[in-house]
Amino acid sequence: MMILRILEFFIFPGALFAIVLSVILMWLVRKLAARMENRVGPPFLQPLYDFAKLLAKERVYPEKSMRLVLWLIPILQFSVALTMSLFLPIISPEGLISFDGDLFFFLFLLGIHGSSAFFLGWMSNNPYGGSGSGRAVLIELSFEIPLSLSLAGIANVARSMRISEITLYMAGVFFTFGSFGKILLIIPWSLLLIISLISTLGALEYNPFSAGHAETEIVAGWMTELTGPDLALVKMSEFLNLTNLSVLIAALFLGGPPVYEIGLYTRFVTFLVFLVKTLLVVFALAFIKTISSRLRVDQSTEGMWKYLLPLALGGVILILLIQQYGGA
Amino acid sequence: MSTVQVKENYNTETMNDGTVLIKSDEESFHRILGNLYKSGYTHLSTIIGAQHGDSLTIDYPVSRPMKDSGQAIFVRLQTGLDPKDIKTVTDLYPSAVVYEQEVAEMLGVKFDEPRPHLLLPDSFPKDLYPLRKEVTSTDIIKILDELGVGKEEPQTIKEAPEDEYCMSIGPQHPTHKEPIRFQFFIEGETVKDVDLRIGFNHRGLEKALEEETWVQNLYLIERICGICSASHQLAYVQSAEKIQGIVDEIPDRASWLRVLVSELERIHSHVLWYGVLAHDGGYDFMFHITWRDREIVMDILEEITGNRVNYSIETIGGVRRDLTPDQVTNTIAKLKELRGLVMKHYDILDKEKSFVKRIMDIGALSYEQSIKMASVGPTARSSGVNFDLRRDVPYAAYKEIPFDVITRTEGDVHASMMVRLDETIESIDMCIYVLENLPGGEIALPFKNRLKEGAAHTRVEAPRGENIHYINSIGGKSPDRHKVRAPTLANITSLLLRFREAQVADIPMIIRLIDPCVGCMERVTFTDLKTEKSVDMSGKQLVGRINSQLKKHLPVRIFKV
Amino acid sequence: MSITKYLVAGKTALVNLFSKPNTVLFPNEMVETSEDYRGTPVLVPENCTLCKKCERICPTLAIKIEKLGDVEHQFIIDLGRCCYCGECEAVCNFDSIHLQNVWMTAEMDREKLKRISTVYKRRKK
Repeated sequence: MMILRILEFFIFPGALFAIVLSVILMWLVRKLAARMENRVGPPFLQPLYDFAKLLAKERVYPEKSMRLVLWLIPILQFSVALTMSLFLPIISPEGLISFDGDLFFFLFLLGIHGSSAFFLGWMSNNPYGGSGSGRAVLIELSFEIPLSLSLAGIANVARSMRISEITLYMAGVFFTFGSFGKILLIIPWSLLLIISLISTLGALEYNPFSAGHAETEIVAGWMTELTGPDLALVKMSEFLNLTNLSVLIAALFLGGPPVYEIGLYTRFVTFLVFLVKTLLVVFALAFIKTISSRLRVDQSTEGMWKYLLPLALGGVILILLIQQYGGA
Repeated sequence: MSTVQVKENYNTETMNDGTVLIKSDEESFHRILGNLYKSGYTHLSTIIGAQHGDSLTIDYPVSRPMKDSGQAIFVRLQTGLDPKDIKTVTDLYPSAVVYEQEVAEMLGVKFDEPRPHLLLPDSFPKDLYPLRKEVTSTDIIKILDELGVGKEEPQTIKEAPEDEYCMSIGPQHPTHKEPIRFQFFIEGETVKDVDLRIGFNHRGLEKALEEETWVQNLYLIERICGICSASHQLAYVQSAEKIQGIVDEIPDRASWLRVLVSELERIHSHVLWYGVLAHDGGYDFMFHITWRDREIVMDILEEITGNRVNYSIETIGGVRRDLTPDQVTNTIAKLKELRGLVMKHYDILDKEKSFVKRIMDIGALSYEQSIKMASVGPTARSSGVNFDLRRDVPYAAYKEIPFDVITRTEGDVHASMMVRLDETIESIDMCIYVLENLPGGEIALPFKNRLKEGAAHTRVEAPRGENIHYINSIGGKSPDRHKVRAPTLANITSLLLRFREAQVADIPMIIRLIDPCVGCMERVTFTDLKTEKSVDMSGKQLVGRINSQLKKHLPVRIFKV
Repeated sequence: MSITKYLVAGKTALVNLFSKPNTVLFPNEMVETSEDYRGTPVLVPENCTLCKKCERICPTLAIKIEKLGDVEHQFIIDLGRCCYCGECEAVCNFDSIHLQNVWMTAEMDREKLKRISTVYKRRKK
């Protein structure tokens, strides 16, 4: 039993599976972007090749930089991203780690991941890195609040702060249109889904919020001075974060892996449904990312604070009102 | 002041191409230029220095950037071999800094304002001037070998003042693939000061041109630039034809085909430009879409000229390839398809809010500043300068082809994008008109590899703006002096004005605004084709500090706001 | 706020997604060049009369004709120097040099870029 549990953690649906899934999803994002731009796009294993190639390269540190930070933060980012993946409901509504308030902990880890980028850029003693880390932390600050608010709204619908319970509730809610109130909930639900998708783009530093590593202005932003294995780890944690956030949105908004009692194939079907939902989210992300232009950092933060935050607040209040008076 | 008045007032001469040339000396030339400036001759195209035996001539081609009166007047200053204290004209024409510096370094003309080296290595011998006749390119290569050019320490970043930090863009940067260096002094995200250095790509082309034959030069000229190769070749062959006196005898079909290739080149250059602008704004989707559609015009060029980049279509006396009727119909069909696609780009680029927000009101230059800094081409037209060499100083067959000159008044990146988008569509229409009305007949006159004695210049509207070639022939197998000034060098001085209060994120878009082509701008690796030896000048030596000079003569202080 | 002005390229993107890609994976597949493309110059030794017109006109001195014996000559086209202008093709009266639409000429060694063919001088009739 113990061995099985360890296998679950390290292989399926744990760390190794999360990495494989991230690589595949990353390939999918790149391939979709390429096809929308009418290109052929990368071969299936290209993200893995990139990762392997970077691992084999030597490390180069700039003068007067804090090498320890440049060496440690990629490891921190990678381990944080990997830990986050353990919370994800993949083959059952319950993740490998699950406790009351784990949604809260998940967001906390995401915050650590985002803010560590700032130190990385700052310590690399490079004007591009400095500029990029400032932008990254600004964008991170602005996206996190709408994201947290929209997730809080959904937590309110399910009246729980536990990912597994919300997932179960959302998986069930589609079959139990009990009252008029529940149907009304579709309005704030779709609003919050859009907001969380947009803030996910910010969290992943995708277009239009990619000012943190705007290639044509500041080369690679906070990643400029990273080389070899360090860069590989940062890239891999980026891949992992794509999985984490898209799976989380698929779980909390679309119901994630539901439990259907169909005997032997239960787990398999659950897993398939989970995959389809995740791919839907990834497609939406890739679509917006591809057809939008990069906003300037002041424009993107302005958009976040001026429009996204009030909308998210409005969504949460709407949910509370419906629950209070609509009888949901 | 019309050319007739000029002829009455000054001691003039007429060049082979009919250009009025005012003769002057060290005392009078500045006064003459001042008078001309007052009567509207505000555009100084370049400064041409040349050695004739034991005397030097310095030519100032000035013109009026106005509708239908764009003919240039040359003011010639004749001096001995060792001129000193020549009066600088930067008080009239601020953009003359770079041109004066070029003459000073290449020919040893000493101006009354000594400046540090711009194009040559700092350690280059002070009394050796590469464009002098007694200096051969083998000598220069030997000297550069001894100096060990390119083996020095890397350039250092300048010390930034307090509260600011220095961000270096270039010589190697993803924004532009060509070597040019900007150092921005930045506070937060705002640009406070900018320092420009050029000269990393100086290839000694003008010297090389003097040592090659007329036919060899045909192919060397088009390698000045990868994008506007046909416009350089056109300017060259037209100057040569003017010297030979066969301009009016060029077959109609040849001139129409020249227009066709020039316009196709403009289409591909502009489509490339706004694709790269989209890429600079992080809009990679449009970058790929526009470049995909640009392939259509590249395919047309490949089919009718034989190559995608260096078309090699022009020759002295005509063009080298003819079009078959099949090709004409094919090309028209392809161009109509392209027109539809460009209209789509037009829609998306003009509407997509997240992109328009990025380029609106960025890097604006007013009409007065644009005239003062002598900017050229679509860059000037986006600031409201209604001047197009195709209409105002017609060459090839442009007189017979109807087209509109597009101008905007805002002067920002958005305006210049709209100007270029409109010009693309205008050019496609022109190409269709040319193909539908193509006259028949011969395509070339025979050329015997030798030119008469004489001098002529041609100004051509390249995709990026005014491109001027000046040839002085002494009747041999190769030119005595060939001067090239590409549009980017004219625009680079006004570029610095545009960075006022810009954000870091705007920098790539503003640099893109002038469509910089560093290869064009610094035509001058000393390459000797015969010994196959080339020396790439790089790094510390090829440093120019024109910023401090610009500060002096500008009407507004912009660099420290 | 005009939300319709964002993501205007959406339709184009979706159309592209379900249409054939416009690029190819390069070394495996290649894009065709037009018939008239000025690519690698190729000599037809049978037609060559060794008049040396092409050697004289070549702007980059890429063509060299060397005498080996009484009748045997070496005709060298150095692709490393060739600028693909087509002057040699235009100047030749005997159709003996052609620019083909072959453009893949990369080699690891500079010497391999020299295309050497042997031409025999024909007797005057």
